[in-house]
Amino acid sequence: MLTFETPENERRVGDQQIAWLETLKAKGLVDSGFNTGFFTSGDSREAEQAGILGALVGSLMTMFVTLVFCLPVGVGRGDLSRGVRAKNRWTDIIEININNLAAVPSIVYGLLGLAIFLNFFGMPRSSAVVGGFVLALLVLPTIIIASRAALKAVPPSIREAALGVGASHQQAVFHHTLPLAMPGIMTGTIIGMAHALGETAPLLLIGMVAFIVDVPTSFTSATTALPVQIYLWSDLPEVAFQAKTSAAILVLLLFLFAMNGLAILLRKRFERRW
Amino acid sequence: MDATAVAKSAPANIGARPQPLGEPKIIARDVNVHYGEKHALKNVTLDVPEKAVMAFIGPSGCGKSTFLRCINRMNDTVASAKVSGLIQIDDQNIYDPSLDVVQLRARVGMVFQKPNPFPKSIYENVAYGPRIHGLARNKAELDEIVESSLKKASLWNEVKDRLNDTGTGLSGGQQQRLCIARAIAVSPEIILMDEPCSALDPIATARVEELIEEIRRNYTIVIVTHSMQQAARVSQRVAFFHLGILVETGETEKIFTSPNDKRTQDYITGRFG
Repeated sequence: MLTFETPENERRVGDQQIAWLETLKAKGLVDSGFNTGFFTSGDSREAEQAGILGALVGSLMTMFVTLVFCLPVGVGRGDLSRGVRAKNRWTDIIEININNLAAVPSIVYGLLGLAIFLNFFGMPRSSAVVGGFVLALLVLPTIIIASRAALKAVPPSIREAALGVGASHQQAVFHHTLPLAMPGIMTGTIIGMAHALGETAPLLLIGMVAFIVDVPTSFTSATTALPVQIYLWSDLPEVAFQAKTSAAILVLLLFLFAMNGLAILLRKRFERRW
Repeated sequence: MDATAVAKSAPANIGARPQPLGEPKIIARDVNVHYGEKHALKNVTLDVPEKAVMAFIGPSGCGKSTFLRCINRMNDTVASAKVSGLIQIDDQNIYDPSLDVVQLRARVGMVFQKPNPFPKSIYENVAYGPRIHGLARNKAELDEIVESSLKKASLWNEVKDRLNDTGTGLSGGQQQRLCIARAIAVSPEIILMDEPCSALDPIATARVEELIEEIRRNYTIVIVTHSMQQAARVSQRVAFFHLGILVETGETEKIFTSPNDKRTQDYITGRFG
């Protein structure tokens, strides 16, 4: 039997309601089941109605922006540093910076996003597009380093062979080097994406921490993301939000597992030997 | 003096005398190559005869591969390499800025030291070149090019039943013949071979040498080799490089029996290198 130490007028559930619940339980009319509502509604002040859809859609949109922005830039950077290019002081500085950027604390990227995207460019606050850009900057070094390693692992003799039969530089890259490096690039990208998916700190600074009830409908509408939602719910005093927090964490973990699993699968599937 | 006039004038060094073996296909005058600070090739002046095999011999690091890679401008891919001087193929300066390097490399095929087939099927390996150059209008024509190239590379009988198997699954010697077929497939006029047999066993080497002997009637072949016996077996002319200098060039028999230069004599008799 539950004990209620809080006086009735400070509780959200009255004595009468508890009595009704007990009666229903006694009659066997109460049972627990899978809460589909959790996946089909947005956030709410009421724990019973709060769902994860808003955060899920927000996260997916943010990921999409990150991926679209990151992949070409990351692969391009990774490839450029391997192509015909003079080595000079500037390229050295860029190389060193790429390697150092990977170690910058993520909250600094949030500040950068706040200063540049929101204040300077005036982009909409707490939107998926800004979140995507910030996370893209955050994971870009990871993707560049992974792409570069993957491209480096392709023997130069393959590129020479392509050039030798009269392929242009672009053809050699797009027909041979890049397809051979693709599993490595994909793995790096997915792991980078998983990193971005779990990242909270930079999103706090660009306003994605707000309480948003609506499921976002565009890349510029206010939204939140899965880890931020977890952070928000974990802060709430109601007992029922504990369960919501746990459920949201499970969803996030599930996504992370799925993404990492996909990375491993792709690696195994497309691995080539020569 | 303009470029053509330079080319027509007689080569300055003793070895490269007028060619008894057909017209010169490749003409090089005062070619210098620098890799950064390193002066890798010094004033090389040389004629390569048409439809014959010319071998470049010399100790390691003597510049023979460097010169070979100038002929199809493969050195362009090395950022620190600087090439000066004149190289002409059929009276056309291949370092002319208006020249399309891609077209040049289609005319000048290359076979590398280590067999480097693409990690694709045997068919795709041979079909890649014709495909990117648009040499076949349809699948049937492409099939024909693949078949004839593999036949010319005397590989057809060994692989005709498994054209879709991956090229990297072949033995080393077969892979190298596949690479030769791949080079032949784009119908080049010149084939450059950079120590094509150094990664092969004696039997595979013999096959490749037979192949060179067969195809030399239709192609101008330049081969870099470490093995003097190989140079003697396959080539009609030899150029001997030493420390970035072209020491001597002449007919194979003459170089191996009565070389003009002391260094050539020492090298071919095995006193160094």
